[in-house]
Amino acid sequence: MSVIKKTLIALMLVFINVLLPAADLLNQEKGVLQQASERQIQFTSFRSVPVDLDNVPLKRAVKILFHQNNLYILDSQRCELYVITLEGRWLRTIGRPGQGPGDMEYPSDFFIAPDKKIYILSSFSKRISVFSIEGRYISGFRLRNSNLYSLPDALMIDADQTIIIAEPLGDIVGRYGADGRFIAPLLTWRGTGSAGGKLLGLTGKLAPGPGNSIIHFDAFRGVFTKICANGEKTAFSSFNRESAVKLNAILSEKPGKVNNHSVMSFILWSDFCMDSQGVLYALPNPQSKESQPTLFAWSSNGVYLYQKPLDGIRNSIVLNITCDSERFAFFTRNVDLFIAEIKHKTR
Amino acid sequence: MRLRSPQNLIYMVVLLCLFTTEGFSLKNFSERYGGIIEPITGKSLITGDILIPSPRKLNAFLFIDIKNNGHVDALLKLNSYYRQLIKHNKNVAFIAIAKAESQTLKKLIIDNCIEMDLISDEPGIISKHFGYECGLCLQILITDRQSKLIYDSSRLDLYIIERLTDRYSSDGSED
Repeated sequence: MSVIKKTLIALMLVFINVLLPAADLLNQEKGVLQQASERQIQFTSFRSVPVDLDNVPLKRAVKILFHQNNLYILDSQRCELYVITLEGRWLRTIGRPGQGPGDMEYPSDFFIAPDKKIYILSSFSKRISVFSIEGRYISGFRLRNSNLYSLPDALMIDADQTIIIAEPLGDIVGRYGADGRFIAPLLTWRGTGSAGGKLLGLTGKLAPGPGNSIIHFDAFRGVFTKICANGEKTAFSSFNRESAVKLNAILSEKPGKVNNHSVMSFILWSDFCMDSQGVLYALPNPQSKESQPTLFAWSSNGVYLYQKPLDGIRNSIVLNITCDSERFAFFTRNVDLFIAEIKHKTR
Repeated sequence: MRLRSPQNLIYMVVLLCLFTTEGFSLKNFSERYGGIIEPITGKSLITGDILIPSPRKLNAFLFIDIKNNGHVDALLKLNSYYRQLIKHNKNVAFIAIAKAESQTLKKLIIDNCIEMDLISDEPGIISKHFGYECGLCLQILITDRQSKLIYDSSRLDLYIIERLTDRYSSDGSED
């Protein structure tokens, strides 16, 4: 075989393996590890955690997060952040309802920075309150953005200690200084490119990605956007027939055909999380309790890996998910908390 | 408007929120937080002449338009909570202020057994004193026992009001 032929074959392989998947990261229909169950995540046990409801009167949890073998639960209706052990025992409550220093008003997200400060975002008043990990109030400031109607939805702190905010009605993702001053947009309506400019982002969620990147999850369409440190953006998702049908009905020219009129019913994905190896997991939002909760997984490069039913959770709608290197936690609409230990992880 | 693009859907949702949230206020909450409300006298249809805010009490002010059923519902909810507080001897004063005639408000009081103070502010003097000049939107303000503004919202959330009342009205709480 001549050198030219070898070169051509090599080029073709590069084209097939690199270029084609990159161009097809949206609406991926088949998971590449769907048949390889041994390479999927394995849950050894699902246990329901009895939460101390006297001290943790949960009403509407919006985010759960593992940190140092404790579980942090933010409740937007109670306006408090609860810290519990993995056995459900209450440790402390951070913040309280109100508008003063250390108070929260309909918080929507929180983030624990590497310096162990907790940043809590109050969505309606556009305020960020900073607490120590022990719950002591440190400072607070307002986000200052010229867009009056932007509604900050999610936050994270990046490696440069700047604040990243997802605000669906303004720039989709923007960067703010430590004093709340707007610095620059990172992901805008028209600048997405790879997502075809169709990112809705009604409920954006954020997480720090590998290599100082930012992962934005559009819970409306189930589309991830990875924003790299150099500004490069990659959008990826998987094909979910039920969600796609519903989305098409909503976006059709006759929206009266859609039976559910509440905005919440438009949100077709519940939550997402990323494990220590960079694998992203997300849960579609089922419309009924009878639907089996199913976990979808993507690689950090955006390749759809597999979907896996959560056998340990029945007759519940999972609203929140989080994970660390050893376990997953699921919080349901019935205010039930499940913790699943991991046996083995792939990739 | 036709839903030709997702952006249009977003704008429709925003407009819907703006129109349904009648008391949408553009004021900066945090700048008003902690400001002292200077006292002014008013005439309640329940207890007669009163000082607003009532000194050494937690005060809650509800600005309503009684032509709006939603606002009347909010008044009834707050009134119900006020009755519970009084039953437990809490040191609070709840005052509703409406730009309406006294006769209309009196009928409202009788029909709904309203016990919290209700002020007819047809000239708008008290409303203007509080910086509320809309007259059509719902607004709730809460001051602590030193008449400092601690809460300003265009949304009646009884859970937050309950927590603030617990925190600021009872003995040994924040003053």
